[in-house]
Amino acid sequence: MSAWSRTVPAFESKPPARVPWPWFVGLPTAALGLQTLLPTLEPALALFNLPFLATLNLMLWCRSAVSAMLLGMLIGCLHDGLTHGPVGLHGIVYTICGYLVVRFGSYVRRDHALELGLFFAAAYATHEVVFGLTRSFLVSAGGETDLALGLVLTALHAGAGLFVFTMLSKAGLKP
Amino acid sequence: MQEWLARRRNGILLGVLVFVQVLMVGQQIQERPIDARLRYWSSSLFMPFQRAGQWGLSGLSSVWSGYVWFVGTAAENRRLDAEVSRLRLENHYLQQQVVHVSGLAGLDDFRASLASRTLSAKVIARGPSRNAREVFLDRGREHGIEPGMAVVVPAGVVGKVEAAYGASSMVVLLSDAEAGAGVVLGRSGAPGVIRGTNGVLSRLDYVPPHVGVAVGERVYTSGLDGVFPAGMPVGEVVSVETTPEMHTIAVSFHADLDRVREVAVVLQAEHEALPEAVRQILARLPGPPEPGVEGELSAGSLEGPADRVKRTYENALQAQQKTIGLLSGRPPNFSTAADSLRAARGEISGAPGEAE
Repeated sequence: MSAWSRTVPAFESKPPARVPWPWFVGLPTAALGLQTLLPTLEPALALFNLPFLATLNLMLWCRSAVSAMLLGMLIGCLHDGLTHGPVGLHGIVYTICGYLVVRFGSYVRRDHALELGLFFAAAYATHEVVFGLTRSFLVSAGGETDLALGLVLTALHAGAGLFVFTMLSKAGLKP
Repeated sequence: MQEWLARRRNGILLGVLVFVQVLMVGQQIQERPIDARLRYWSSSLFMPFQRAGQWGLSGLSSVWSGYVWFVGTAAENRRLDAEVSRLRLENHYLQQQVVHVSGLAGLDDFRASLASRTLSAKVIARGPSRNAREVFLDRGREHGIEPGMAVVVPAGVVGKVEAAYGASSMVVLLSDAEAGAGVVLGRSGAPGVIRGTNGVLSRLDYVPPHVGVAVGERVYTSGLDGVFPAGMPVGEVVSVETTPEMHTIAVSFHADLDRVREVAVVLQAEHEALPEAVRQILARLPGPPEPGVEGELSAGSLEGPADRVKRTYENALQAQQKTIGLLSGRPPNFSTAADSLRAARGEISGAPGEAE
């Protein structure tokens, strides 16, 4: 047994998720619906990735890597279904993020705003990097990389992730 | 082994799920549309809510702006009064000059002014990604919309219908990097292909380098792509960089693709009148051959080097009574064809030995 696995508690040893299953389906789906609706009013709102924020929070809550990956795949594929790109691009990214969130999310103190904020920032940055790599490898479609915009968006999503986390906590979902 | 599998269950599952999705993406890139059903489900799931949401938000927005948000209204009224007085005078003058285009103010008038048969539709949703270059319309296959139809607004072309579902459809905007349209330049009449860049500006390719292109020159659809009817405004040249080999031309779209709310879908395209300058240039170009003179053109006058190579090899096959693709018998002997091609190259260069 490696030193890593000795010091890290396994996911399965943690108590089961206390998120009612309708949240798993309803929240990301509603976020996806909002994401397609709000930019028709104000195009700048397209900068937010609401489905990812909702899914990320639920992944953080559910603690089971299997359900997090399946949830990620489902929402990612639904996301792709509303684009004209191939279905599976976002699915791959969300699946990988689901695994990483559950793998490393267990070390984040849920009552520590800075740690949580940094975690959301890292998750968003990972999402962007993995999506860019996946798209360029599988579809050969490289997008323009704007580092400054990327940093601003990462900070914005960290704040928005914290906000969603707080709202879910107030709604009675206990991690 | 079981312990090893149990410990790495999550990693293995991750690998399997990613692999399955990579295969899915690969299948779609090879143009096997296994995603069509999922797209249909996604669209059917979301679009009724989007339609209702759009209706609710529009109502809320009009109530807010019309009845609730009165901050600065008095100052705004004074400013608008002055503006109206000025515009009345200006309008009186301009009316004399723009009678023929005054009907284009609204979408309905615009549609009536088009030669093409069109259908009006509202944008009820946009793609969920940050760089989304697609919008969803509240009309679909039930209303006669089919994939490949052009979508336009009074300001210019918007995009092309990518998929049509029951009561909704997806339109890929012209600003998408995968979108393009055949165009002509308004002043020179030179043809080109406009391509999206996923940004605000688009790129105009394949304009011959000897053609002069000026900043501010307007760009119209050529109708040669079989999607957009000819004569629709597309945009305006904003920058040109010229080298002896090529132009690098950036074009801004006339239509505000990020804020488009109502559009006209071209159900049956009819070409519009091109600008007078373009028409004059096109009139100077040689037209199609008169009936009865096709034989002169097909006698080899248009034959290029590749055509000659193809014809030589086909003749060699015919002479040996062989067929490409059949495995029976001996393979065809092309050495005589190659010899005759070498001889032909020698004739062209003027010295038979040079080609060797």
